[in-house]
Amino acid sequence: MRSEDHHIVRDMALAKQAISHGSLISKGHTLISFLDEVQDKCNLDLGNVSCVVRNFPFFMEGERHTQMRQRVLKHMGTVASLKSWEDYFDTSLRKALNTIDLDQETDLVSAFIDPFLQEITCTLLGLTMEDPHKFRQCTDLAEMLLDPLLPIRALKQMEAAFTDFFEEILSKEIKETGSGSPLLAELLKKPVPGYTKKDTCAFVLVVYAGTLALRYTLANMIFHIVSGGETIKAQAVSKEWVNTHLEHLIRDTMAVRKVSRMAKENCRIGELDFEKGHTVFIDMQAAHYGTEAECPMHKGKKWDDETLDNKTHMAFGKGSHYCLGANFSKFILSKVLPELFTRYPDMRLVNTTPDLMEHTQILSVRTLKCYMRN
Amino acid sequence: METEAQAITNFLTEKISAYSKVPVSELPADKALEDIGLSSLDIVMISGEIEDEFDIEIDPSVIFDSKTINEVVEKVLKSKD
Ligand code: HEM
Repeated sequence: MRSEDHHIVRDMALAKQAISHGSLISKGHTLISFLDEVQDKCNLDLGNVSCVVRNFPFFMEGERHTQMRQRVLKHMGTVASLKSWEDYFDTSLRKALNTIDLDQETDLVSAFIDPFLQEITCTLLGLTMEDPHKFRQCTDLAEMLLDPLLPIRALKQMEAAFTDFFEEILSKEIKETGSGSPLLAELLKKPVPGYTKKDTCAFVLVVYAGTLALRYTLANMIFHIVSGGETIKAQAVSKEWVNTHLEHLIRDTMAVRKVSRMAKENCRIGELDFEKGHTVFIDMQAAHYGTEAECPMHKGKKWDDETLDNKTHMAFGKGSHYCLGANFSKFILSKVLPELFTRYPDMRLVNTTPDLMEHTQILSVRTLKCYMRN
Repeated sequence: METEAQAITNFLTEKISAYSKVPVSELPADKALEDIGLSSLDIVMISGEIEDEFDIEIDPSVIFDSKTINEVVEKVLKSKD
């Protein structure tokens, strides 16, 4: 059943226009009025969920959004800003790899990728909670806000989880590492106009939820390289090879399935007419790999020069919502791959069929079991 | 005696009628849900009420993706198993 009409954009040229078109906006304001109505009808207090939604970058538009974006990019979006963290990232990477050093067989997602990325992103952003499970629940729930139809049960869980999060984060000092000041500490010290302390924490929480895209993409990338055979694995030890082909690797392994927008007025993009209020889904997988293509995680990936030269992608989006973690992601990916394949040149997949997650928004391997040595 | 399927059908029909303001008499179980004009909020509220009444978890997308009341009832029965 469809109570609102929707379009699916599958063509790359059209997708590029649609994702950054001024008449197609995120659905944030509908979510805010939806929450107001649910609060009214069910006599619920969803104040903290509303706070997260109001500060959810994907849902924001206008000056308040742009100002915060500029601050975040200045702090962690430029190569210069990331350089000050480089020693810390390198040490953390080596430590994370040390923890799997004795394993003959391991699941790289749970044993390496998850703990490593969680450690560095929490430190970079200045977010931690006493109970890591509670924190994980908070970010998973924040990610759920992207679902178009939220069950009331989930809204109640969110309210409880976000209440605990705000209470704890706002009552403690943010840990500094010596590498630089974490994003949240910086933003609380010198607030962006229009943001309360709670607004700022909510924004940074969602930035953290965004980092999951890196976790999913890195897992896909390792899967592709390991299943690409000995020659490819041997090339991936080289920082230069990885840097030269990074855009291509991102293109072929990015985990985002779709991005959604809503038409704020009647408009025409390419051959398509969008009516005010219609939902537009940008099918990122089809735009990158074509509608006929099988799931890219299943089709054996080609590694010839012509394929590797294909670097055109919009894996990080385009326009006013362009990914805030794009440079950070590239910085980290270009470090992880050479280090991992230098340490484990004989790494092999336990199962050559990818163990994919069931997720409407994400295409990624859930586990990545590998034999680490011969 | 009312079967479980009937009980769920009746409950669902009443709720859809209450939210859409379409009388129960005009809501046969094979009517296309698309023609009733429920909003997303209505669907979320109805799935919440089903959860409370039958003590199950049912995502709003189950109603959203179903064509008729019968189809929703089938899915609710399945998730009760
Ligand atoms: C390879 C990894 C990643 C991919 C493929 C990716 C992909 C994307 C895409 C497609 C968008 C645009 C969504 C839209 O237009 O609606 C986006 C936005 C965003 N990403 Fe990423 N992302 C990645 C990593 C990260 C990381 C590591 C962070 C955080 C440090 C992050 C934080 C964000 C945020 C906050 C936004 C919203 C920006 C805004 O709306 O202003 N992402 N990302």
